[in-house]
Amino acid sequence: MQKEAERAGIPSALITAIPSVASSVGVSRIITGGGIPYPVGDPTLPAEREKEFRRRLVEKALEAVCSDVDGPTVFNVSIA
Amino acid sequence: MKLERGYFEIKDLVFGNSLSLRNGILEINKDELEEYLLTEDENDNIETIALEIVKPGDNTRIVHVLDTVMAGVKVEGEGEFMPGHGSAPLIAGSGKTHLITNLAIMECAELPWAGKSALLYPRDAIVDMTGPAAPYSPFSETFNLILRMEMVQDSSDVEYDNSVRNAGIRCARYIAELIRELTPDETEVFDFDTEVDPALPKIAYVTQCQNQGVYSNTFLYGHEVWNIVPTYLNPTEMMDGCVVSGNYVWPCFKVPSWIQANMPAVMELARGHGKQWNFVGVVFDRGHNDSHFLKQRAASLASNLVRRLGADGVLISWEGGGNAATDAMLTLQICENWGIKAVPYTFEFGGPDGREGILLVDDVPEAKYVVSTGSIEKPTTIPAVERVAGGDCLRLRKETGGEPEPADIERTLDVITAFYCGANQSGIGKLAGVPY
Repeated sequence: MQKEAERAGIPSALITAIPSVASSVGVSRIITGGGIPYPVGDPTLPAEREKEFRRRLVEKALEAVCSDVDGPTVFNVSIA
Repeated sequence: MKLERGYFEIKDLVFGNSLSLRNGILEINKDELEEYLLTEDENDNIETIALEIVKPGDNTRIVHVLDTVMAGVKVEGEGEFMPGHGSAPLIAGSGKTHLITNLAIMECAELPWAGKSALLYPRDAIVDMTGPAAPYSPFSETFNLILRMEMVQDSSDVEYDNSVRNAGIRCARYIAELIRELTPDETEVFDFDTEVDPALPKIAYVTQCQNQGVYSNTFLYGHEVWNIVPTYLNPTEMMDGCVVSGNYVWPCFKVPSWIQANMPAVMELARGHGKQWNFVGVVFDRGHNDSHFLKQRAASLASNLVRRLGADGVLISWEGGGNAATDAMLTLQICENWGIKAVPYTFEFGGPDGREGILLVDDVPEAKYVVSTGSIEKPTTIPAVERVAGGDCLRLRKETGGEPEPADIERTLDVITAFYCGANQSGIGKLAGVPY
């Protein structure tokens, strides 16, 4: 889906637990998420820290969307 | 470690008045064995057990297959066959073991689907003894003793899982006691104690099991391996059944206990040990780690063991679907980057003609050679059959809540996922490569 959006000229980014799969299928902007059962969070963190982690993921994804990239590029965030 | 395996091949399997093996005919007292298994079932989770016999060539479909175990007994040496199950978790793999090579004890039951996640629920697994789907399962060629079980209502998943597995293992032990004192038809010795020619290439094997919770677990020495740190196993420990399966999720991707004790890569590498190569051992691991971090960690630790074993080359295989491919490919990548040649074998996708969509869920540029064990996206029509064993219906659709459907009719399945062991992930199977 990310690739198709990109092809249609819409800059986009994918938050995923498995960046290697995203890279190998050619996704341009990849954000390493929490885990397979929870890509956009991490319930093992205390609630406040998880909220911060989620915020960082989304902000990193927005930053990625605004960045020019050449081929699959992985953006990482630190766990809050 | 040095292990002698004594093999017994049966010519027939029948119900009769005694438990005996004479002239290759294995006779089982049905009532006695059923009663024994019910009596031994802790907490009475099994409502009924009916034993059934299914033979190669029978016009029969086996359904609801959960795990399949081998009848084996430790004759000399530490531990038991399938150590840690109803026995102490002592290190097996040395001394002598007697086994019936062509008998499969199959646990069959409908386990509950209610409240299960989208992926990890006990799907219906099919073995066809004849017809086009028969070659998908190695158990279309074995004498099969079916434990057809009905479970009581409202027990927990953990209890169902334990009861089903223990019944299968108890049944296998009960029968294997017969062959303890008998002289095997054939013996084979696997000697890993004697030094081998240092010039031989050193080969390791990484086997990644599935372990994601009850109904998708694998047991090592009697305990599931959610928190496992990749570990070293002597090949003979695997042959003695130190790995037991409790994985019921995707039929085609399962590696039953019967195969875990007869892993093609382990057997083939062990048979060539000291002659064609130096088989330096097995690295046992689990895939489906939850995050990229955990996948990298497992892959790093597994690769580190391969390196410590001094391997020049490594074979890698994994149980389960696409998620687990990533753990294996990361392991391959690290090994290759350290100069250790790594070759995986795996099922592929590719649609009915092999050219549609993706072939593998994940791969890395370092995977230069990949052995295909066949596509799982081949539509297959299974014919009507005279008899159904293991149960009397099929549950194939989660969206209907697993509404029972007739099991004996002809039907076309778009993919092969319902065929027990059909993705050949252990390397067992009947496929051959054909250039075109």
